[in-house]
Amino acid sequence: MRVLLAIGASADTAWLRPLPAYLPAATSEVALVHVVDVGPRKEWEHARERFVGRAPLRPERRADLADAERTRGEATLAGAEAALHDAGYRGPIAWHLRRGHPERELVAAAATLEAGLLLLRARERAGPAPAGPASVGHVARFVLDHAPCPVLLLRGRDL
Amino acid sequence: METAPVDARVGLVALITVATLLAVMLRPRGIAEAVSALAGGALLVAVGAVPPAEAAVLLLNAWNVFGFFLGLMLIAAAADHADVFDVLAWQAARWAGGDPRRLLLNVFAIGVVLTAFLSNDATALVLTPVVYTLAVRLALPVRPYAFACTFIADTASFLLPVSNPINVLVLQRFPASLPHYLQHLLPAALAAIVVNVVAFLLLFRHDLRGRFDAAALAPPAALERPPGLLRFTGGGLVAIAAGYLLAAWQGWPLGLVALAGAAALLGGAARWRALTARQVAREVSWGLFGFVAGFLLIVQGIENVGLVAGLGQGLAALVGADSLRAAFTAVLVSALGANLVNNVPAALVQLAAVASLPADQPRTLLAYGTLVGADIGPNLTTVGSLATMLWLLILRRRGVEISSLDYLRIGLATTPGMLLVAALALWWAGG
Repeated sequence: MRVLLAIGASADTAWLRPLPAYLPAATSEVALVHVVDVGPRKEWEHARERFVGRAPLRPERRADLADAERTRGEATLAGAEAALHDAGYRGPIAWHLRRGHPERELVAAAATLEAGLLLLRARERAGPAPAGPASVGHVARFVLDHAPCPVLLLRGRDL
Repeated sequence: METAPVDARVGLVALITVATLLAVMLRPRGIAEAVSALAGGALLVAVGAVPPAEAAVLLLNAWNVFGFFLGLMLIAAAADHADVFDVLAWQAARWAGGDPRRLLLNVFAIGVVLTAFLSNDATALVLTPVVYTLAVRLALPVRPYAFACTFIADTASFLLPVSNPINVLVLQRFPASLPHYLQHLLPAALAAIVVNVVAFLLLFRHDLRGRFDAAALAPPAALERPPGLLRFTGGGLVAIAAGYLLAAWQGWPLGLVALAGAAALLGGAARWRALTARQVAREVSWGLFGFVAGFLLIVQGIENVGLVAGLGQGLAALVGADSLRAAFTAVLVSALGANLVNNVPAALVQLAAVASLPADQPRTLLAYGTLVGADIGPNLTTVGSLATMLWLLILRRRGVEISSLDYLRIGLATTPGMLLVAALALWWAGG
Protein backbone atom coordinates (compact mmCIF):
# COMPACT_ATOMS: atom_id res chain seq x y z
CA MET A 1 0.00 0.00 0.00
CA ARG A 2 1.31 3.41 -0.96
CA VAL A 3 1.10 5.91 1.89
CA LEU A 4 0.98 9.56 0.95
CA LEU A 5 2.70 11.82 3.48
CA ALA A 6 1.90 15.54 3.14
CA ILE A 7 4.92 17.74 3.89
CA GLY A 8 4.20 21.37 4.69
CA ALA A 9 6.41 24.39 4.06
CA SER A 10 7.93 24.46 7.54
CA ALA A 11 11.58 23.44 7.79
CA ASP A 12 10.78 21.74 11.11
CA THR A 13 11.07 17.94 10.71
CA ALA A 14 10.97 16.92 14.38
CA TRP A 15 7.31 15.92 13.98
CA LEU A 16 8.38 13.08 11.63
CA ARG A 17 10.34 11.29 14.39
CA PRO A 18 7.44 9.18 15.75
CA LEU A 19 5.93 8.71 12.29
CA PRO A 20 7.06 5.13 11.52
CA ALA A 21 4.83 3.97 14.38
CA TYR A 22 1.79 5.24 12.47
CA LEU A 23 2.66 3.56 9.17
CA PRO A 24 0.56 0.42 8.44
CA ALA A 25 2.49 -2.86 8.17
CA ALA A 26 1.34 -3.13 4.54
CA THR A 27 3.17 0.06 3.57
CA SER A 28 5.02 -0.56 0.29
CA GLU A 29 6.14 3.01 -0.33
CA VAL A 30 5.96 6.40 1.35
CA ALA A 31 5.16 9.11 -1.20
CA LEU A 32 6.32 12.46 0.16
CA VAL A 33 4.18 15.22 -1.34
CA HIS A 34 5.03 18.89 -1.02
CA VAL A 35 2.91 21.55 -2.68
CA VAL A 36 4.35 24.94 -3.58
CA ASP A 37 1.46 27.18 -2.51
CA VAL A 38 0.57 29.52 -5.37
CA GLY A 39 -1.87 31.50 -3.21
CA PRO A 40 0.48 34.31 -2.12
CA ARG A 41 1.80 34.68 -5.66
CA LYS A 42 -1.72 34.94 -7.08
CA GLU A 43 -2.62 37.55 -4.47
CA TRP A 44 0.38 39.59 -5.40
CA GLU A 45 -0.42 39.24 -9.12
CA HIS A 46 -3.92 40.58 -8.35
CA ALA A 47 -2.34 43.48 -6.49
CA ARG A 48 -0.32 44.38 -9.61
CA GLU A 49 -3.53 44.76 -11.59
CA ARG A 50 -4.35 48.14 -10.14
CA PHE A 51 -1.28 49.68 -11.74
CA VAL A 52 -2.73 50.86 -15.03
CA GLY A 53 -0.86 49.62 -18.08
CA ARG A 54 1.57 47.71 -15.88
CA ALA A 55 4.51 46.09 -17.62
CA PRO A 56 4.57 42.30 -17.27
CA LEU A 57 7.06 40.72 -14.92
CA ARG A 58 10.46 40.25 -16.60
CA PRO A 59 11.07 36.69 -17.87
CA GLU A 60 14.32 36.57 -15.84
CA ARG A 61 12.38 37.39 -12.68
CA ARG A 62 9.79 34.70 -13.42
CA ALA A 63 12.55 32.16 -14.03
CA ASP A 64 14.35 33.18 -10.82
CA LEU A 65 11.15 32.86 -8.82
CA ALA A 66 10.35 29.44 -10.32
CA ASP A 67 13.90 28.28 -9.58
CA ALA A 68 13.63 29.51 -5.97
CA GLU A 69 10.31 27.69 -5.49
CA ARG A 70 11.66 24.45 -6.97
CA THR A 71 14.89 24.60 -4.95
CA ARG A 72 13.02 25.27 -1.72
CA GLY A 73 10.49 22.51 -2.45
CA GLU A 74 13.25 19.98 -3.14
CA ALA A 75 15.09 21.01 0.03
CA THR A 76 11.89 20.53 2.02
CA LEU A 77 11.39 17.03 0.58
CA ALA A 78 15.06 16.14 1.13
CA GLY A 79 14.78 17.25 4.77
CA ALA A 80 11.66 15.14 5.24
CA GLU A 81 13.31 12.08 3.67
CA ALA A 82 16.37 12.44 5.91
CA ALA A 83 14.14 12.80 8.97
CA LEU A 84 12.21 9.63 8.05
CA HIS A 85 15.49 7.72 7.70
CA ASP A 86 16.65 9.05 11.05
CA ALA A 87 13.35 7.92 12.55
CA GLY A 88 14.11 4.36 11.44
CA TYR A 89 12.00 3.99 8.30
CA ARG A 90 13.94 1.92 5.76
CA GLY A 91 11.33 1.31 3.05
CA PRO A 92 11.16 3.02 -0.35
CA ILE A 93 10.48 6.77 -0.45
CA ALA A 94 9.34 8.75 -3.50
CA TRP A 95 9.23 12.56 -3.95
CA HIS A 96 6.34 14.45 -5.51
CA LEU A 97 6.74 18.22 -5.85
CA ARG A 98 3.58 19.95 -7.05
CA ARG A 99 2.40 23.55 -7.51
CA GLY A 100 -1.05 24.87 -6.74
CA HIS A 101 -3.41 25.17 -3.82
CA PRO A 102 -2.13 22.67 -1.21
CA GLU A 103 -5.54 21.27 -0.25
CA ARG A 104 -6.57 20.59 -3.84
CA GLU A 105 -3.19 19.25 -4.89
CA LEU A 106 -3.03 16.82 -1.97
CA VAL A 107 -6.44 15.40 -2.85
CA ALA A 108 -5.45 15.18 -6.53
CA ALA A 109 -2.13 13.51 -5.64
CA ALA A 110 -3.91 10.93 -3.48
CA ALA A 111 -6.11 10.04 -6.45
CA THR A 112 -3.32 10.05 -9.05
CA LEU A 113 -0.95 7.99 -6.92
CA GLU A 114 -3.74 5.64 -5.82
CA ALA A 115 -2.73 6.14 -2.20
CA GLY A 116 -4.11 3.70 0.34
CA LEU A 117 -3.68 6.19 3.17
CA LEU A 118 -3.03 9.91 3.39
CA LEU A 119 -1.13 11.20 6.42
CA LEU A 120 -1.01 14.87 7.26
CA ARG A 121 -0.14 16.98 10.24
CA ALA A 122 -2.67 19.29 11.87
CA ARG A 123 -1.76 22.96 11.93
CA GLU A 124 0.40 23.93 14.88
CA ARG A 125 -1.33 26.16 17.37
CA ALA A 126 -0.80 27.24 20.94
CA GLY A 127 -3.26 25.60 23.34
CA PRO A 128 -6.11 23.22 22.62
CA ALA A 129 -7.89 23.30 19.27
CA PRO A 130 -11.11 25.32 19.33
CA ALA A 131 -14.39 23.46 18.92
CA GLY A 132 -16.24 23.77 15.63
CA PRO A 133 -15.08 24.29 12.05
CA ALA A 134 -11.83 26.01 13.12
CA SER A 135 -10.65 22.87 14.93
CA VAL A 136 -8.39 22.13 11.95
CA GLY A 137 -6.86 24.42 9.35
CA HIS A 138 -8.42 24.93 5.93
CA VAL A 139 -6.01 22.55 4.18
CA ALA A 140 -6.72 19.69 6.59
CA ARG A 141 -10.44 20.47 6.51
CA PHE A 142 -10.55 20.21 2.71
CA VAL A 143 -8.45 17.04 2.65
CA LEU A 144 -10.58 15.38 5.34
CA ASP A 145 -13.71 16.24 3.38
CA HIS A 146 -12.52 15.33 -0.12
CA ALA A 147 -9.69 12.78 -0.01
CA PRO A 148 -10.39 9.62 -2.05
CA CYS A 149 -8.72 7.41 0.61
CA PRO A 150 -8.57 7.10 4.41
CA VAL A 151 -6.90 10.08 6.10
CA LEU A 152 -4.87 10.03 9.29
CA LEU A 153 -4.57 13.48 10.86
CA LEU A 154 -1.61 13.69 13.21
CA ARG A 155 -1.80 16.12 16.05
CA GLY A 156 -0.25 16.52 19.44
CA ARG A 157 2.71 18.18 21.10
CA ASP A 158 5.17 15.47 20.01
CA LEU A 159 4.31 15.87 16.36
CA MET B 1 -36.03 77.83 -23.51
CA GLU B 2 -32.37 78.77 -23.80
CA THR B 3 -31.29 76.52 -20.98
CA ALA B 4 -32.54 73.32 -22.55
CA PRO B 5 -29.50 72.69 -24.82
CA VAL B 6 -27.20 73.53 -21.91
CA ASP B 7 -29.00 71.09 -19.62
CA ALA B 8 -28.88 68.45 -22.31
CA ARG B 9 -25.16 68.94 -22.68
CA VAL B 10 -24.65 68.73 -18.91
CA GLY B 11 -26.61 65.49 -18.91
CA LEU B 12 -24.57 64.13 -21.82
CA VAL B 13 -21.28 65.02 -20.12
CA ALA B 14 -22.45 63.39 -16.89
CA LEU B 15 -23.49 60.29 -18.83
CA ILE B 16 -20.15 60.01 -20.63
CA THR B 17 -18.26 60.54 -17.36
CA VAL B 18 -20.23 57.91 -15.46
CA ALA B 19 -19.96 55.46 -18.37
CA THR B 20 -16.20 55.98 -18.48
CA LEU B 21 -15.83 55.44 -14.76
CA LEU B 22 -17.93 52.26 -14.97
CA ALA B 23 -15.84 51.01 -17.89
CA VAL B 24 -12.65 51.63 -15.89
CA MET B 25 -14.12 49.84 -12.86
CA LEU B 26 -15.56 46.83 -14.64
CA ARG B 27 -13.28 46.53 -17.70
CA PRO B 28 -16.03 45.06 -19.93
CA ARG B 29 -14.70 42.52 -22.46
CA GLY B 30 -11.25 43.17 -21.05
CA ILE B 31 -11.10 46.70 -22.48
CA ALA B 32 -8.03 48.39 -21.00
CA GLU B 33 -8.62 51.29 -18.60
CA ALA B 34 -6.53 53.59 -20.79
CA VAL B 35 -8.75 52.90 -23.84
CA SER B 36 -11.91 53.66 -21.84
CA ALA B 37 -10.43 56.86 -20.39
CA LEU B 38 -9.20 58.08 -23.77
CA ALA B 39 -12.53 57.25 -25.40
CA GLY B 40 -14.38 59.17 -22.67
CA GLY B 41 -12.06 62.17 -23.06
CA ALA B 42 -12.38 62.12 -26.86
CA LEU B 43 -16.19 61.95 -26.59
CA LEU B 44 -16.21 65.03 -24.36
CA VAL B 45 -14.15 66.87 -26.96
CA ALA B 46 -16.52 65.63 -29.68
CA VAL B 47 -19.64 66.89 -27.88
CA GLY B 48 -18.01 70.27 -27.32
CA ALA B 49 -17.56 70.06 -23.55
CA VAL B 50 -13.84 70.62 -24.09
CA PRO B 51 -12.99 72.68 -27.21
CA PRO B 52 -10.17 71.05 -29.22
CA ALA B 53 -7.85 74.04 -28.68
CA GLU B 54 -8.38 73.87 -24.91
CA ALA B 55 -7.80 70.10 -24.96
CA ALA B 56 -4.52 70.57 -26.80
CA VAL B 57 -3.34 73.25 -24.38
CA LEU B 58 -4.39 71.13 -21.39
CA LEU B 59 -2.41 68.11 -22.57
CA LEU B 60 0.62 70.16 -23.62
CA ASN B 61 0.66 71.86 -20.22
CA ALA B 62 0.82 68.42 -18.63
CA TRP B 63 4.20 67.71 -20.29
CA ASN B 64 5.90 67.84 -16.89
CA VAL B 65 3.56 65.16 -15.52
CA PHE B 66 3.98 62.88 -18.55
CA GLY B 67 7.74 63.44 -18.64
CA PHE B 68 7.92 62.58 -14.97
CA PHE B 69 5.92 59.36 -15.45
CA LEU B 70 8.14 58.28 -18.33
CA GLY B 71 11.37 59.15 -16.52
CA LEU B 72 10.20 57.35 -13.40
CA MET B 73 9.46 54.12 -15.24
CA LEU B 74 12.73 54.21 -17.17
CA ILE B 75 14.76 54.85 -14.00
CA ALA B 76 13.08 51.90 -12.26
CA ALA B 77 13.74 49.70 -15.31
CA ALA B 78 17.42 50.68 -15.44
CA ALA B 79 17.83 50.05 -11.70
CA ASP B 80 16.06 46.71 -12.04
CA HIS B 81 18.29 45.54 -14.90
CA ALA B 82 21.40 46.60 -12.98
CA ASP B 83 20.19 44.31 -10.13
CA VAL B 84 20.11 47.19 -7.64
CA PHE B 85 16.98 45.77 -6.02
CA ASP B 86 18.52 42.30 -5.73
CA VAL B 87 21.61 43.69 -4.01
CA LEU B 88 19.48 45.72 -1.58
CA ALA B 89 17.31 42.71 -0.71
CA TRP B 90 20.40 40.52 -0.23
CA GLN B 91 21.93 43.11 2.10
CA ALA B 92 18.64 43.34 3.99
CA ALA B 93 18.83 39.59 4.64
CA ARG B 94 22.48 39.77 5.75
CA TRP B 95 21.85 42.69 8.07
CA ALA B 96 18.90 40.91 9.67
CA GLY B 97 21.24 38.51 11.49
CA GLY B 98 18.90 35.54 10.99
CA ASP B 99 15.95 37.25 12.68
CA PRO B 100 12.74 37.23 10.54
CA ARG B 101 11.38 40.30 12.38
CA ARG B 102 14.50 42.31 11.63
CA LEU B 103 14.31 41.21 8.01
CA LEU B 104 10.75 42.52 7.85
CA LEU B 105 11.89 45.84 9.32
CA ASN B 106 14.75 45.99 6.80
CA VAL B 107 12.31 45.31 3.95
CA PHE B 108 10.12 48.15 5.22
CA ALA B 109 13.18 50.44 5.39
CA ILE B 110 14.21 49.65 1.81
CA GLY B 111 10.59 50.06 0.70
CA VAL B 112 10.35 53.48 2.34
CA VAL B 113 13.56 54.78 0.72
CA LEU B 114 12.78 53.34 -2.73
CA THR B 115 9.22 54.65 -2.63
CA ALA B 116 10.35 58.08 -1.47
CA PHE B 117 12.73 58.57 -4.39
CA LEU B 118 11.63 56.11 -7.10
CA SER B 119 7.86 56.12 -6.44
CA ASN B 120 5.36 53.53 -5.30
CA ASP B 121 5.37 51.77 -8.67
CA ALA B 122 9.05 50.83 -8.27
CA THR B 123 8.45 49.32 -4.84
CA ALA B 124 5.19 47.55 -5.62
CA LEU B 125 6.11 46.28 -9.07
CA VAL B 126 9.88 45.78 -8.98
CA LEU B 127 10.90 45.29 -5.34
CA THR B 128 8.04 42.90 -4.48
CA PRO B 129 9.09 40.02 -6.78
CA VAL B 130 12.69 40.36 -5.59
CA VAL B 131 11.69 40.20 -1.92
CA TYR B 132 9.23 37.40 -2.64
CA THR B 133 12.00 35.32 -4.22
CA LEU B 134 14.30 36.14 -1.31
CA ALA B 135 11.73 34.90 1.23
CA VAL B 136 11.25 31.68 -0.76
CA ARG B 137 15.01 31.06 -0.89
CA LEU B 138 15.29 31.68 2.85
CA ALA B 139 12.45 29.21 3.53
CA LEU B 140 10.45 31.98 5.21
CA PRO B 141 6.68 32.56 4.94
CA VAL B 142 6.34 34.86 1.93
CA ARG B 143 3.15 36.70 2.87
CA PRO B 144 4.56 39.15 5.47
CA TYR B 145 7.40 40.21 3.18
CA ALA B 146 5.47 40.43 -0.09
CA PHE B 147 2.61 42.28 1.62
CA ALA B 148 5.10 44.60 3.33
CA CYS B 149 6.40 45.73 -0.08
CA THR B 150 2.99 46.36 -1.62
CA PHE B 151 1.61 48.11 1.46
CA ILE B 152 4.60 50.33 2.19
CA ALA B 153 4.65 51.32 -1.49
CA ASP B 154 1.37 53.15 -0.84
CA THR B 155 1.89 54.14 2.78
CA ALA B 156 5.25 55.84 2.14
CA SER B 157 4.14 57.38 -1.14
CA PHE B 158 3.53 60.92 0.11
CA LEU B 159 6.88 61.39 1.83
CA LEU B 160 8.08 63.50 -1.12
CA PRO B 161 6.44 65.03 -4.20
CA VAL B 162 8.13 62.34 -6.35
CA SER B 163 6.97 59.39 -4.28
CA ASN B 164 3.73 58.84 -6.19
CA PRO B 165 2.60 60.05 -9.65
CA ILE B 166 -0.60 61.27 -7.95
CA ASN B 167 1.48 63.79 -5.97
CA VAL B 168 2.77 65.35 -9.17
CA LEU B 169 -0.79 65.63 -10.46
CA VAL B 170 -1.85 67.32 -7.21
CA LEU B 171 1.09 69.73 -7.27
CA GLN B 172 0.40 70.54 -10.92
CA ARG B 173 -2.97 71.90 -9.77
CA PHE B 174 -1.90 73.26 -6.36
CA PRO B 175 1.79 74.23 -6.70
CA ALA B 176 3.69 74.18 -3.40
CA SER B 177 7.31 74.59 -2.35
CA LEU B 178 9.14 71.60 -0.88
CA PRO B 179 9.26 73.10 2.65
CA HIS B 180 5.50 73.78 2.48
CA TYR B 181 4.86 70.24 1.25
CA LEU B 182 7.04 68.67 3.93
CA GLN B 183 5.65 70.87 6.70
CA HIS B 184 2.13 69.67 5.93
CA LEU B 185 2.71 66.07 4.87
CA LEU B 186 5.86 64.72 6.51
CA PRO B 187 4.28 64.16 9.96
CA ALA B 188 1.31 62.39 8.35
CA ALA B 189 3.60 60.21 6.21
CA LEU B 190 5.79 59.21 9.16
CA ALA B 191 2.74 58.50 11.34
CA ALA B 192 1.16 56.30 8.65
CA ILE B 193 4.44 54.39 8.15
CA VAL B 194 4.70 53.71 11.90
CA VAL B 195 1.12 52.43 12.01
CA ASN B 196 1.79 50.22 8.98
CA VAL B 197 4.96 48.69 10.47
CA VAL B 198 3.49 48.12 13.95
CA ALA B 199 0.32 46.61 12.50
CA PHE B 200 2.35 44.15 10.42
CA LEU B 201 4.54 43.13 13.35
CA LEU B 202 1.36 42.33 15.29
CA LEU B 203 -0.64 40.70 12.49
CA PHE B 204 2.22 38.48 11.33
CA ARG B 205 3.78 37.80 14.74
CA HIS B 206 3.24 34.03 14.41
CA ASP B 207 4.94 33.99 10.98
CA LEU B 208 7.97 35.90 12.21
CA ARG B 209 9.18 33.41 14.78
CA GLY B 210 12.32 31.28 14.51
CA ARG B 211 15.56 31.98 12.69
CA PHE B 212 16.85 31.84 9.13
CA ASP B 213 20.30 31.29 7.67
CA ALA B 214 21.31 34.17 5.40
CA ALA B 215 24.70 32.57 4.79
CA ALA B 216 22.98 29.94 2.62
CA LEU B 217 21.87 32.69 0.26
CA ALA B 218 23.96 33.03 -2.92
CA PRO B 219 25.10 36.61 -3.64
CA PRO B 220 23.15 38.32 -6.44
CA ALA B 221 24.55 38.02 -9.96
CA ALA B 222 25.50 41.71 -9.97
CA LEU B 223 28.13 41.07 -7.30
CA GLU B 224 29.68 38.28 -9.38
CA ARG B 225 30.17 40.58 -12.37
CA PRO B 226 32.57 43.53 -12.79
CA PRO B 227 31.08 46.25 -10.56
CA GLY B 228 30.97 49.02 -13.20
CA LEU B 229 27.24 49.00 -14.00
CA LEU B 230 26.12 48.53 -10.39
CA ARG B 231 28.32 51.39 -9.18
CA PHE B 232 27.27 53.66 -12.02
CA THR B 233 23.55 52.96 -11.48
CA GLY B 234 23.82 53.26 -7.70
CA GLY B 235 25.66 56.59 -8.01
CA GLY B 236 23.17 57.73 -10.63
CA LEU B 237 20.23 56.94 -8.35
CA VAL B 238 21.76 58.96 -5.52
CA ALA B 239 22.34 61.87 -7.93
CA ILE B 240 18.74 61.62 -9.19
CA ALA B 241 17.45 61.65 -5.59
CA ALA B 242 19.49 64.80 -4.91
CA GLY B 243 18.24 66.29 -8.19
CA TYR B 244 14.63 65.65 -7.20
CA LEU B 245 15.11 67.38 -3.85
CA LEU B 246 16.85 70.35 -5.47
CA ALA B 247 14.19 70.65 -8.18
CA ALA B 248 11.35 70.41 -5.66
CA TRP B 249 13.11 73.00 -3.50
CA GLN B 250 13.62 75.41 -6.40
CA GLY B 251 10.28 74.74 -8.06
CA TRP B 252 11.89 73.33 -11.22
CA PRO B 253 9.90 70.79 -13.27
CA LEU B 254 10.38 67.31 -11.82
CA GLY B 255 9.79 65.81 -15.25
CA LEU B 256 13.07 67.27 -16.48
CA VAL B 257 15.03 65.70 -13.62
CA ALA B 258 13.36 62.33 -14.15
CA LEU B 259 13.99 62.35 -17.91
CA ALA B 260 17.61 63.51 -17.54
CA GLY B 261 18.25 60.88 -14.86
CA ALA B 262 16.62 58.18 -16.98
CA ALA B 263 18.73 59.18 -20.01
CA ALA B 264 21.91 58.94 -17.94
CA LEU B 265 21.03 55.55 -16.44
CA LEU B 266 19.94 54.13 -19.80
CA GLY B 267 23.18 55.41 -21.32
CA GLY B 268 25.07 53.47 -18.66
CA ALA B 269 22.94 50.38 -19.25
CA ALA B 270 23.69 50.61 -22.98
CA ARG B 271 27.41 51.08 -22.30
CA TRP B 272 27.46 47.85 -20.24
CA ARG B 273 24.99 46.13 -22.61
CA ALA B 274 22.51 45.46 -19.79
CA LEU B 275 19.37 46.66 -21.54
CA THR B 276 18.16 46.71 -25.15
CA ALA B 277 15.79 49.26 -26.67
CA ARG B 278 13.10 46.57 -26.94
CA GLN B 279 13.44 45.74 -23.24
CA VAL B 280 13.21 49.44 -22.38
CA ALA B 281 10.00 49.80 -24.40
CA ARG B 282 8.58 46.72 -22.70
CA GLU B 283 9.21 48.10 -19.22
CA VAL B 284 7.15 51.25 -19.78
CA SER B 285 3.47 51.19 -18.79
CA TRP B 286 2.32 53.06 -21.90
CA GLY B 287 -1.33 52.76 -20.92
CA LEU B 288 -0.80 55.11 -17.99
CA PHE B 289 -0.29 58.06 -20.35
CA GLY B 290 -3.60 57.48 -22.12
CA PHE B 291 -5.34 56.88 -18.82
CA VAL B 292 -4.15 60.15 -17.29
CA ALA B 293 -4.68 62.12 -20.51
CA GLY B 294 -8.23 60.79 -20.79
CA PHE B 295 -9.11 61.76 -17.25
CA LEU B 296 -7.49 65.20 -17.56
CA LEU B 297 -9.90 65.82 -20.45
CA ILE B 298 -12.88 64.35 -18.60
CA VAL B 299 -12.27 66.46 -15.50
CA GLN B 300 -11.87 69.57 -17.67
CA GLY B 301 -15.15 68.68 -19.37
CA ILE B 302 -17.10 68.36 -16.16
CA GLU B 303 -15.51 71.58 -14.90
CA ASN B 304 -16.51 73.41 -18.09
CA VAL B 305 -20.18 72.45 -17.81
CA GLY B 306 -20.33 73.38 -14.14
CA LEU B 307 -20.69 69.87 -12.70
CA VAL B 308 -17.61 70.25 -10.52
CA ALA B 309 -19.03 73.30 -8.77
CA GLY B 310 -21.86 71.09 -7.51
CA LEU B 311 -19.34 68.56 -6.21
CA GLY B 312 -17.42 71.41 -4.57
CA GLN B 313 -20.58 72.58 -2.82
CA GLY B 314 -21.21 69.04 -1.62
CA LEU B 315 -17.66 68.84 -0.31
CA ALA B 316 -18.01 72.22 1.41
CA ALA B 317 -21.22 71.04 3.07
CA LEU B 318 -19.43 67.94 4.38
CA VAL B 319 -16.46 69.96 5.60
CA GLY B 320 -18.34 72.78 7.33
CA ALA B 321 -16.15 75.32 9.12
CA ASP B 322 -14.02 72.86 11.06
CA SER B 323 -10.45 72.20 9.85
CA LEU B 324 -10.28 68.81 11.60
CA ARG B 325 -13.44 67.78 9.78
CA ALA B 326 -11.90 69.12 6.57
CA ALA B 327 -8.81 66.93 6.96
CA PHE B 328 -10.82 63.79 7.73
CA THR B 329 -13.37 64.43 4.98
CA ALA B 330 -10.75 65.03 2.29
CA VAL B 331 -8.72 61.96 3.25
CA LEU B 332 -11.65 59.59 3.63
CA VAL B 333 -13.61 60.72 0.54
CA SER B 334 -10.49 60.46 -1.58
CA ALA B 335 -9.64 57.02 -0.17
CA LEU B 336 -13.19 55.86 -0.82
CA GLY B 337 -13.02 57.15 -4.39
CA ALA B 338 -9.66 55.43 -4.89
CA ASN B 339 -11.22 52.13 -3.86
CA LEU B 340 -14.48 52.59 -5.76
CA VAL B 341 -12.84 53.39 -9.10
CA ASN B 342 -9.13 54.20 -9.14
CA ASN B 343 -7.04 56.79 -7.34
CA VAL B 344 -6.15 58.84 -10.44
CA PRO B 345 -9.70 59.86 -11.47
CA ALA B 346 -10.78 60.05 -7.82
CA ALA B 347 -7.99 62.51 -7.01
CA LEU B 348 -8.44 64.57 -10.20
CA VAL B 349 -12.19 65.00 -9.65
CA GLN B 350 -11.78 65.81 -5.96
CA LEU B 351 -9.01 68.33 -6.71
CA ALA B 352 -11.22 70.05 -9.26
CA ALA B 353 -13.98 70.22 -6.64
CA VAL B 354 -11.54 71.70 -4.12
CA ALA B 355 -10.32 74.26 -6.68
CA SER B 356 -13.90 75.41 -7.24
CA LEU B 357 -14.32 76.35 -3.57
CA PRO B 358 -14.07 79.98 -2.45
CA ALA B 359 -10.76 81.20 -1.00
CA ASP B 360 -12.08 81.25 2.56
CA GLN B 361 -12.28 77.44 2.54
CA PRO B 362 -9.18 75.45 3.69
CA ARG B 363 -8.25 74.54 0.12
CA THR B 364 -4.63 73.63 0.86
CA LEU B 365 -5.67 71.27 3.62
CA LEU B 366 -8.31 69.74 1.37
CA ALA B 367 -5.85 69.32 -1.51
CA TYR B 368 -3.27 67.64 0.72
CA GLY B 369 -6.01 65.50 2.26
CA THR B 370 -7.01 64.41 -1.25
CA LEU B 371 -3.41 63.42 -1.92
CA VAL B 372 -3.13 61.42 1.32
CA GLY B 373 -6.39 59.53 0.72
CA ALA B 374 -5.51 58.77 -2.91
CA ASP B 375 -2.02 57.57 -1.93
CA ILE B 376 -2.86 55.35 1.08
CA GLY B 377 -6.42 54.47 0.04
CA PRO B 378 -5.56 51.67 -2.43
CA ASN B 379 -4.19 49.64 0.48
CA LEU B 380 -7.76 49.07 1.64
CA THR B 381 -8.72 46.66 -1.13
CA THR B 382 -5.33 46.54 -2.85
CA VAL B 383 -6.70 45.06 -6.06
CA GLY B 384 -7.53 48.62 -6.96
CA SER B 385 -11.23 48.91 -6.72
CA LEU B 386 -14.09 47.78 -4.61
CA ALA B 387 -15.87 46.76 -7.78
CA THR B 388 -13.11 44.28 -8.62
CA MET B 389 -13.22 43.03 -5.06
CA LEU B 390 -16.98 42.52 -5.16
CA TRP B 391 -16.64 40.71 -8.45
CA LEU B 392 -14.02 38.41 -6.95
CA LEU B 393 -16.31 37.72 -4.00
CA ILE B 394 -19.19 36.85 -6.35
CA LEU B 395 -16.88 34.47 -8.24
CA ARG B 396 -15.89 32.85 -4.97
CA ARG B 397 -19.50 32.32 -4.00
CA ARG B 398 -19.96 30.60 -7.32
CA GLY B 399 -17.12 28.26 -6.42
CA VAL B 400 -14.46 29.80 -8.66
CA GLU B 401 -11.05 29.67 -7.03
CA ILE B 402 -9.80 33.14 -6.13
CA SER B 403 -7.20 34.49 -3.81
CA SER B 404 -6.87 38.15 -2.75
CA LEU B 405 -8.93 37.63 0.38
CA ASP B 406 -5.78 37.68 2.49
CA TYR B 407 -4.91 41.04 1.00
CA LEU B 408 -8.40 42.32 1.72
CA ARG B 409 -8.23 41.04 5.28
CA ILE B 410 -4.89 42.76 5.91
CA GLY B 411 -6.05 45.89 4.10
CA LEU B 412 -9.22 46.18 6.15
CA ALA B 413 -7.27 45.59 9.36
CA THR B 414 -4.55 48.18 8.73
CA THR B 415 -5.72 50.87 6.30
CA PRO B 416 -8.48 52.57 8.33
CA GLY B 417 -5.98 53.14 11.15
CA MET B 418 -3.40 54.52 8.74
CA LEU B 419 -5.95 56.87 7.15
CA LEU B 420 -7.21 58.18 10.49
CA VAL B 421 -3.73 58.74 11.94
CA ALA B 422 -2.55 60.43 8.73
CA ALA B 423 -5.64 62.69 8.67
CA LEU B 424 -5.04 63.66 12.29
CA ALA B 425 -1.35 64.41 11.63
CA LEU B 426 -2.28 66.41 8.53
CA TRP B 427 -4.72 68.50 10.55
CA TRP B 428 -2.13 68.97 13.33
CA ALA B 429 0.60 70.04 10.87
CA GLY B 430 -1.71 72.40 9.03
CA GLY B 431 -3.06 74.03 12.17
